[in-house]
Amino acid sequence: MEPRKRHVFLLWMLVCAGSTQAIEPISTSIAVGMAAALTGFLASYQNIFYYFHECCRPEWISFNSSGLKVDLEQKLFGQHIASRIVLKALTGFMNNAQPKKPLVLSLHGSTGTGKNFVSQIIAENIYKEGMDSSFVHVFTSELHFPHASKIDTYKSQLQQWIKGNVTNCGRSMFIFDEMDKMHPGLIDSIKPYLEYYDKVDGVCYRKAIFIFLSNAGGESITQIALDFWRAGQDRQTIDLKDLEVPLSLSVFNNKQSGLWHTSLIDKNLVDYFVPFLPLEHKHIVQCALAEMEAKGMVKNHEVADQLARDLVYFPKAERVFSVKGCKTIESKLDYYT
Amino acid sequence: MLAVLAAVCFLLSQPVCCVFQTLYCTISDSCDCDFRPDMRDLEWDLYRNVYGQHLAQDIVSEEVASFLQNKSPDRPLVLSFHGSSGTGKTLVSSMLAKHLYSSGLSSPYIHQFIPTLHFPLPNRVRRYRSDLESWVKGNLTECARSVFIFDEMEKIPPGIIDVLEPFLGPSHVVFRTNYRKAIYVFISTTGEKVINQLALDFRQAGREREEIRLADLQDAVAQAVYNSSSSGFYHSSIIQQKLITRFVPFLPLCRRHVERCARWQLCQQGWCWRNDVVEAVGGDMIYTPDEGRYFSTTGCKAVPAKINLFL
Repeated sequence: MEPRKRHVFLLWMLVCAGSTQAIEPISTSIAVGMAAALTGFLASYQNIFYYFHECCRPEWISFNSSGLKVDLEQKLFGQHIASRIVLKALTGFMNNAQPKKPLVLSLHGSTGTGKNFVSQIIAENIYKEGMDSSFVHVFTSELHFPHASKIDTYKSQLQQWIKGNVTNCGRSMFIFDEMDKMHPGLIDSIKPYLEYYDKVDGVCYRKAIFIFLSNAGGESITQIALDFWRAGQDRQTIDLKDLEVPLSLSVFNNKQSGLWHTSLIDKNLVDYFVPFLPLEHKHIVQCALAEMEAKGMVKNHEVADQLARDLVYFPKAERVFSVKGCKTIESKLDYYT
Repeated sequence: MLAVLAAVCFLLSQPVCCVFQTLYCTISDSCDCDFRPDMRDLEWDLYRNVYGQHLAQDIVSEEVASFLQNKSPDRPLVLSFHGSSGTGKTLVSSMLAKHLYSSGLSSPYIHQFIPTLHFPLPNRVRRYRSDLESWVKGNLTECARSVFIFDEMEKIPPGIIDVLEPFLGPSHVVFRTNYRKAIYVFISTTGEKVINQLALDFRQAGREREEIRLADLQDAVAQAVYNSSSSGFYHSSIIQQKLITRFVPFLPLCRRHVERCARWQLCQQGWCWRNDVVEAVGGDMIYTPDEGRYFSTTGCKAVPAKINLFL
């Protein structure tokens, strides 16, 4: 029998229906509806992922000027020059939308006067995660660059590290501890990044922050502070000008002492030189009280006074300044309480 | 009919050409598309934003203008900037880059070499020489109007720069490209003693800064550069064969220039009216020599930092 047209059509439909998957209306509409809702949600709340993971965005990096001021006033003891300079430098730099060069701070002073502490305070008031932020990088010369023979390797590694991190996030912060122990050639290798260039090899370093910590010049600063004390003048009257000139003689122009200073200062790459004065008895007491508060203990002035009196002071005759600054106070507290 | 069509095409050829050129530029990567020299703007920028450098302003604007007017020059333009730190050498080179190529220093046809980054190890001089030569040759082949800026020439190990000698002169042959259309800028602090001494002599004799002529300094600077072991051009054949078109001296800056720098920086940040800050910054800088205190030791370099301290 000759197949009719409609029979052929029916046969064709049967074959097609068997080979194609049937669409179930309810589950399909639920799936499509959910996809549309998710797309709409993501489109309007684009920043949702940025809340979970640290990124180089204003949610994670924003300067808290008033917080910095409060921290410097309340937590840092005996450093009126340093807190003034740090506050002004950072406020000016972070408020400038187009800085001409990266911010370079050089913190000098004897041990225990608060240099590392200040860099921590700075990090906490810029980055939400503080020192744990992935954009804050700390280099300790004895830890990261121990062998003098491998200086060339360290140089290229350091350059690549800095370049990579600044490419990732322009507002990176690099802290170099123990600069006086660092090989001068190593310092030279990062100088191009501190300069006034628009871009170096395609990367813009103008928004980065470099902090150098060192003990160089600590003796000169102490000497000047001692002279002021002996003349009976108030510590608060010591000004930056009083410190800069003698330091330039002893540290910056002395080829034997300050290794790196001569090349960095020659090119005027350091924006701010921040001196840290040695700490007196009253500052140690303040440190001890702050430590007690941090540990959750009751503030006891007598214990703090006793602790401060038992520390070693110099010079032998006058016993004005603490040798170790505020270091080891935390462990000594356990002995006195 | 054909004649009419030809005539119409001819009349429309100018705008048609422009349209085709724009289309070509969007597709291709040629450097002629990016090369937009603007001598008016460059002069404006130089005379407005560079303070205290009358020699540099005149030499750079004249030389660059005459070089660019020539469609096929017989030698590349080679300028060598000399002066102490903070006087504006890098600033002028970046201005030059900005007004030659529309994307400024980020343009792929402007190449900046910094010895501490690109030539750090003195024991690899031979490798650096061959690298530099192939780099320059490759870039010249790709773009005849390339700009090469060599900063901190006093840090380059001697011997590396000599590899450029064939490219700077009129006689070499580079396949497929007119290498003589390139521009080379060398920046260094060598010769600053000579320049500063002359500026001091003029000042102490009571003569105006603007009376200093290039002729007074040209030979002395060339001599200093050739003989100084810490300059990249130490006993270099480039100086011997006089391949440098012009030495551009940068004079040390006086207090009034420092104050102008400070004022410019303040205006950029919206604090134009703070004359007290300008005065304070001017007074806080360190000046040499000890008697007289005429010239700032750091030029304009420490000015933005000091502004933040006084604001």
